[in-house]
Amino acid sequence: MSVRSAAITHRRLLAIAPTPRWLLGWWVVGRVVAIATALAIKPTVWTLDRWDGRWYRMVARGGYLLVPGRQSDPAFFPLYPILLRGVHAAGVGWGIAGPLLSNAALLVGLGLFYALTREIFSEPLARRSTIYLAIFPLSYVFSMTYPESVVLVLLTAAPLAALRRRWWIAAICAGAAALARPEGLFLAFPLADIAWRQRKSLSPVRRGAALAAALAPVAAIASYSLYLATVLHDPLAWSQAERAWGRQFRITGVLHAFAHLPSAVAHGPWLLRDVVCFFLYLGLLYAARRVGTPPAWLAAGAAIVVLPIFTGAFASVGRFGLLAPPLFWGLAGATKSDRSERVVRSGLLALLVAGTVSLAYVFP
Amino acid sequence: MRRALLSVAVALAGAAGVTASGWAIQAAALPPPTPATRIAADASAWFHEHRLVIDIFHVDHRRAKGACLRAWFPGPHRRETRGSLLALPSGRILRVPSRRYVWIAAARRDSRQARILALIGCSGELAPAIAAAAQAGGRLTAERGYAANRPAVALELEHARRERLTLYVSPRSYQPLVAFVDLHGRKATARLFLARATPRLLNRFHLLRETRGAHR
Repeated sequence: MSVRSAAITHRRLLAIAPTPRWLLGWWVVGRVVAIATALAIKPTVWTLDRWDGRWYRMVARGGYLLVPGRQSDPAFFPLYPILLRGVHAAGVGWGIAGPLLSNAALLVGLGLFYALTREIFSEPLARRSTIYLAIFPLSYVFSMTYPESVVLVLLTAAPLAALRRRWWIAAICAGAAALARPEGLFLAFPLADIAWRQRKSLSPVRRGAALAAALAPVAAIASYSLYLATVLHDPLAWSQAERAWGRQFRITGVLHAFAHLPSAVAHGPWLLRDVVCFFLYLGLLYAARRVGTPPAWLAAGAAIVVLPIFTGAFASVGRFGLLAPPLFWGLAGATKSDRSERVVRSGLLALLVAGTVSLAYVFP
Repeated sequence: MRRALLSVAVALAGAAGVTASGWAIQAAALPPPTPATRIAADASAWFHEHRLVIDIFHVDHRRAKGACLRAWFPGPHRRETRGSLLALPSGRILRVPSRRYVWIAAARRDSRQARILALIGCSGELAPAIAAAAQAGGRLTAERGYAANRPAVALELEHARRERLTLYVSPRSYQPLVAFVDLHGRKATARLFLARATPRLLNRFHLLRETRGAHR
């Protein structure tokens, strides 16, 4: 390789492509639909800043506090509140800081998702799946004071950096993703897979960096436990807080979730939304397999969709699925014709309006 | 072999770096809980762990003994509601619905006295009030005090002008000792004895019969 070509390759590895216009357009469409619907419910930021948003703001303002036996904030991971503090320090009010951060992060996240999908599959599939993600019925969460947008950025940046052999960047992004949401932990699967494929072409130090990237999510969660041990004297405070929210991981949890489903639905009919999402996501995972999604990505997607059921409830499964890229690859793979793509887009936009309206009644 | 060891060493160093930098960012960026909020959280945990509180009330220079039990009660539409049973010195037993963030100043005039006693004498009322104040982080202060003939920490919650709840806790274990409320000039104090809800104790305060429909 000549010096010139080596320099060009190096530049290409570092370069991030400018956001395509169509992507910007669909980001605007999705956000306008979600935000306009939210404002139609109540003409303030209230709709986008409620439910878990209140807790993230509480952490951002006052840090963590565990109140045993009561719903407490250590259940909410620290990266998003830290970013909220940063946005607030720049002079933005607490109520606006969350939606502003989330919407801006979504644009970056969509760009990275498109780039990642293009690297793994093809341009048409990347384009379709990115559009579907931008207007997915539960994508109103990407406009709320919720960390999903930020996690999307990190969740796509880490494997993209790994594919481009930027392993230290991949490690930082993977660690940061796990500090924002527990789903970041499952990045270990695709990162380990990419590292394994590249193992023969990597130097020993690079190989170590690749292994570090696969270990980074676990290391980041350890840092959260360490921090909680420092300030609350309880390294498992987040797990204890999750219990007060009714989430406790058990092997028999999945049986409990199905056995108690009728009574749970009778108690809160909105749960049906998450049950429908769960089965739909399983179907989309199957579609993703058919389209040629790498098994490590399928494993990560399945873990994101299925593992929450082991806590004994279906609640919020629909939202968790937003962080499983194979679902959108599967949906894009199943709608190859222009007509089916148009039908799916229209359906998703209509459901996005309905989903945003549901915010007035139920948490996502 | 040496190359593999080098890779493992780099990986472990990288993972340790992620842990250390993650911890450092959290420690630098997030404020630690204040001593007052931590004491309030621990005091709330004491209430959470004890369903039964035996109280000695002091109201208008009169001393009276009572007890309060936190439980779940059968409610409408087969739903269970959380509440408390307060055995008053007069022999009356009052069922108190547990409502978070609702201050008793809004209570009906005829039951106001009883609700004041419930606020300072029931774990089911004190725990959410203390915990909510701790989590909200504002208007909660802790200072040295003296209560139940011993040094104590005085946790003071100020909800609004002339509405103040003070909980005195043990300085070591943060076990609640005394609760004091001042609502628009109306003052009441309760010496708190957290107890296990045994049938003997419940029977002594005529609560056993009342709790048949309730559980937990």
